Amino acid sequence: MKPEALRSTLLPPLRVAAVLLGLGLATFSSRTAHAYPQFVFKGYGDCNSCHHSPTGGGLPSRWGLESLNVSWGADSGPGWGNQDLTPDAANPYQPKVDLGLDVRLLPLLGTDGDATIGPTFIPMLAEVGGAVALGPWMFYGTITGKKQAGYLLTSREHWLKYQASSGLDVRLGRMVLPFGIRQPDHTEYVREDFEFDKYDQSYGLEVDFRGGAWSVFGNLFAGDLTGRPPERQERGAVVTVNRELGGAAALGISALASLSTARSRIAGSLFGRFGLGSSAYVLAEVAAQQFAAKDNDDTLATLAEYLRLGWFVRPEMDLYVEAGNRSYLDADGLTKTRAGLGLNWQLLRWFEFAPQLLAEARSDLPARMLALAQLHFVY
Amino acid sequence: MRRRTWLVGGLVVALCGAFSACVAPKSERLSCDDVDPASGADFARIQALVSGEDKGCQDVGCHGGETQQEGLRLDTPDLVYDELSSRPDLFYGVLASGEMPEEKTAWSDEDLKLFRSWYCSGAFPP
Repeated sequence: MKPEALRSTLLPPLRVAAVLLGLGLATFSSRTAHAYPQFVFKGYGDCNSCHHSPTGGGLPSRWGLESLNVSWGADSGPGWGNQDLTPDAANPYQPKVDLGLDVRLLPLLGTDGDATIGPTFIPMLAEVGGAVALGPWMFYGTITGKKQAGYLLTSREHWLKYQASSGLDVRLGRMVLPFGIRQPDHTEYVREDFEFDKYDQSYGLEVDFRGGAWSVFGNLFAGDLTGRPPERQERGAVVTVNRELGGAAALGISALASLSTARSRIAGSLFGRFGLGSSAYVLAEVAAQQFAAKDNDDTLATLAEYLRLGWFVRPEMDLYVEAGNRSYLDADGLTKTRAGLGLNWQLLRWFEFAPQLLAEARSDLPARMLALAQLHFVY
Repeated sequence: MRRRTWLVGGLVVALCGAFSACVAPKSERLSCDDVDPASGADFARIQALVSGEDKGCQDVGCHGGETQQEGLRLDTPDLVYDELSSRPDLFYGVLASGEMPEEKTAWSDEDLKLFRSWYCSGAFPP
């Protein structure tokens, strides 16, 4: 791609991101993120407060589940099998266990021109797992059914963590690489098209630091070792730096470089999270990556943008509009654009209902409209 | 609380049993064994197969613009690249097993080798 064309493609989304970041900085409130756990759970503040993983995602911790705002359901206390893994001061080496599951089912119906899509039913995820803690050590692992020709049994994540001090962890094992916004919605292009999707985890050694307003996650990775063929195993490094701004806003930047037998890859992301008043927020991300073949001149450059505006109508009810775009810069401008209106409603402590109306357009094709209703069971 | 623990434990065992019973055979998993990157990596040849009448999947009842079974549409070259490059292991599995294309000629060993060669040389667009 010529520099002029690249510049004209990159500048508009970067300008949009700059304006968004400026607006967010100007409007975020001084409320602390932890004063409102639902915000933390939805992406604000320290993800490790609610998840076993220091970078967020995966099964929630006991504190995370107990902190959820729900429409119905009584509180429950911890017991064997679903314990808070924080070491007891009096007996720090007492083993603790927290088991859980994450099941996502998706009924879908839509139209595309004259065609009707569905009704169909997509089993998005069925995962069980848990974490075991012993003093400063913790093991986390999951088992997931993966549809292929039939089903494969796979473990998306399994890692051992050593907590060197408060806010400093070292992890070894298979995990989600720290890159960009950790959004629960897999429909975000930056995650889907940058190979951080549902089954894109890698074995790696990661240092996770969270101190004051800063958090830094650095990972040296060696591919998934068992999933992809050796020729497509990526080895490289990724780092993400987050800066909290006044408690309700954060800016982050990620950079990744990797190499496999077939190709090399560089990627970067600039993202932000901003609280607007007491119950609304903005998420924004601009990311780019480039693959280059090792044996010839083939390249594939991708640009993706994401913007989400959400409003907690009630503490347990997140109403949002979002839009995303992805362009292959080297493939005749092949683009996908999505815009959606949805609701994440935590009905019960173990059940979230997430309906969404989604418009999706690809290249020169007319937009198709989809009605989704994700049923999310978590424990 | 103990009931919950037993419930989760039971689910783990049940899911493990269910999935272990239907693990895909090795021949249906995408690998880089027996590939020909030098001459077989051109994705245009795969697009031609997917769009063809004999081994394609965009006729009525499949994944054309009018039908879109499972929400999947494969009736333009761009869409074929978009879908296959984002879920190569899934597509390879259903093609290698003969599960797809439904009611059409199954992909031959040479066709599958072409797929593997494209994937293993980086999965670039044509």
